[in-house]
Amino acid sequence: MDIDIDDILAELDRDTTAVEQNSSSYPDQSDDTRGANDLALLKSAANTEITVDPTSNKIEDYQKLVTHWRNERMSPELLPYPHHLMARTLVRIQDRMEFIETLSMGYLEDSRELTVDSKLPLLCMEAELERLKFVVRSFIRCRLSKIDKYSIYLRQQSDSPEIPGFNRLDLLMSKEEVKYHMKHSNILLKLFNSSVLKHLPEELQAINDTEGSISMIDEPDWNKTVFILVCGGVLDETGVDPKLTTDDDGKPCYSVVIEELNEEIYLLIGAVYVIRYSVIVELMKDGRVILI
Amino acid sequence: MYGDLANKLILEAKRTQQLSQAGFTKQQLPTYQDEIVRGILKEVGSLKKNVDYLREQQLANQDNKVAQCQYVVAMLSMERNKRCLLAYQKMRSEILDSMIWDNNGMEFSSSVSTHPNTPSFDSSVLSHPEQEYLKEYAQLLTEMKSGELSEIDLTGTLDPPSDVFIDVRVLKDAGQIETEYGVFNLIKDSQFFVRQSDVERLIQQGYLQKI
Amino acid sequence: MGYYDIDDILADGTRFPCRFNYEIPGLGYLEGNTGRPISKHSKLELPLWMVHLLAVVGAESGEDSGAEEPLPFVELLPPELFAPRVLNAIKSGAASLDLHSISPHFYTLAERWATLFSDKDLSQVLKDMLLERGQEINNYAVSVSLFSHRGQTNDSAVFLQTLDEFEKSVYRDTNVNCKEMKKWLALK
Repeated sequence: MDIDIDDILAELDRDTTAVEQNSSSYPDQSDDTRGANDLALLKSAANTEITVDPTSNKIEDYQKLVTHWRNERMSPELLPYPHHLMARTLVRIQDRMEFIETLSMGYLEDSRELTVDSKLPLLCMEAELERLKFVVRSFIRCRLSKIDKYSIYLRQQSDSPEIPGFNRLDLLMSKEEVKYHMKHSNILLKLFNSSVLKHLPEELQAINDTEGSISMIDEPDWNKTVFILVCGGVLDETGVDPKLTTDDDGKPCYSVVIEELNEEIYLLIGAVYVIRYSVIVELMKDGRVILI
Repeated sequence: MYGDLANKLILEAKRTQQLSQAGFTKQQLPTYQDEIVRGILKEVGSLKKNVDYLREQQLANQDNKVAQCQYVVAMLSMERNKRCLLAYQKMRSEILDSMIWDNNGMEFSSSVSTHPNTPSFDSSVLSHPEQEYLKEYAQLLTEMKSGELSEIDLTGTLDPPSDVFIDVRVLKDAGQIETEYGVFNLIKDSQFFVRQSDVERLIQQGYLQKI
Repeated sequence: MGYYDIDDILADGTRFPCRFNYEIPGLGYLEGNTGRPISKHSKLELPLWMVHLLAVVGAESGEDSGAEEPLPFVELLPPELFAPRVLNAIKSGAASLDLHSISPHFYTLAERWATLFSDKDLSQVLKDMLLERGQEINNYAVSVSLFSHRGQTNDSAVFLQTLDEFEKSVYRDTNVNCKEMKKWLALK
């Protein structure tokens, strides 16, 4: 369905100059924000102007966004924010909205009688835009709710920077989300302080006390059961998937170890499993496995 | 016994939670149980005095099993009270949060509703710190919605969009509504064929119903 | 699970029978006799949040009393909750059991107890019970959403009252999921 619409839109696109032709300097495929390139990546995202590289595939980006969205909804923890993908997507949304506006202005001025048919391309564009906005909205809301839920836990994570002056939370969350996190936890702490904590004796005034019978910090449930689809297909520079092995029947699969049972199991490519999150979290972050 | 008041508070919290699950807390919260909260804080105060006294006793006499036991009981009671107080407050703050998300923070800036037929929110059910929290969170949300994410309308509907144009029925009289594409006169039980994105807000607020 | 979880807090408030190993003056109010000491070996019911530590922590002696470990202040006695009578009732007819009347937080408490005492039998009974009752919950939740337009029938209302808090949340989730599924299929 999307591909058909894109054909129609491509017709219209040729007549307008909505998309920038400048090539941008940031990498296209990797929204994987781990590893030693983190600092450089962050700096580049902050400093370079956001222009859309016309060679970055809209359809691929959309599919990546949907995968991120799905993973985020099913995962018990807050996953890293796909900075570049989101930046491209937001620019596209903005451009498309302006484009639709100019187009519909054109229709309004047109004195020809308009039927629903002649407005079809416009309707298709609007429908597609609504769907994209919905996915982005749902994605962000899901993340915000997790930020609220694990607010103190995330605060702890940011308090131990590995590189001075580099806040780990900046990778995990977008700028807006970091702001939201800080502000919300501040006003919530203020509420708790004024209604309860400041009236308690000193030794009980902490909000992150782990000494008592139960830890006050809510951590994500690492052992949550999730459904996964093993897709594989993540290759390194030499075109080979380093984690891929074969099982006894010679079928391609990934091998994981379940710690409590001390068992090694094989996850076949293309298969669906129900498994604990902690076992597959690395594979998921690589993109070899998706949560469904 | 110590902790009884806290149990009362927690039962109240449970009741609030059940109301919330049944969908009754969209516009209103039960009244803040100020008396119970103050009672619990007083209890903690007197437990604290016990604890201080017992600590002195322990320093004086290491082998005092009695003091140790009493000490443990008093500390546990204090922790229990703290936990109940915080859980109650957290439950309420979460409901306040969802109220703001659902209503887009609109009707809470003042206790007088600006729109006819909108049930006005009674802020006397909240404690003072809660009222402040409400204002501050509404402001935070408004800030979040502007900025680079303004197009996607963070407080918009979380139902996936279906059709571009939909049939809607008017549930309540709401006078004239001006949208980007025209002016509509909202009279109860009239029907319109409109663009979904335009009327999303009105559907959320309960003025229109999608057919 | 969680510090702020209301059901957890309520479960912690459940009272368990225990026996004091020492005489402690000043705690008479726990028995309802303020001003009088608790005598050694007296049995009373205390909430879990108090007992779980008292049953582990013992009196520390200043002097070296040899190789003996200090006795904990309190000893937990087997509660009615997990008595053989109850376990037999579960084993013989889990699906029709009124769990709410035994305890509204049965699963949570059973988990805690089993972990505390490494009670494998209890956890096996619990697993089997969940399996049986889970199917029953599923049946009710699905049929209510698919066949009853008014939302609830008498039977299902009665059934709901026999569920404990954990099962109620399972029922709720199943019900909501079914309704959403039905709506989505209707769209197609």
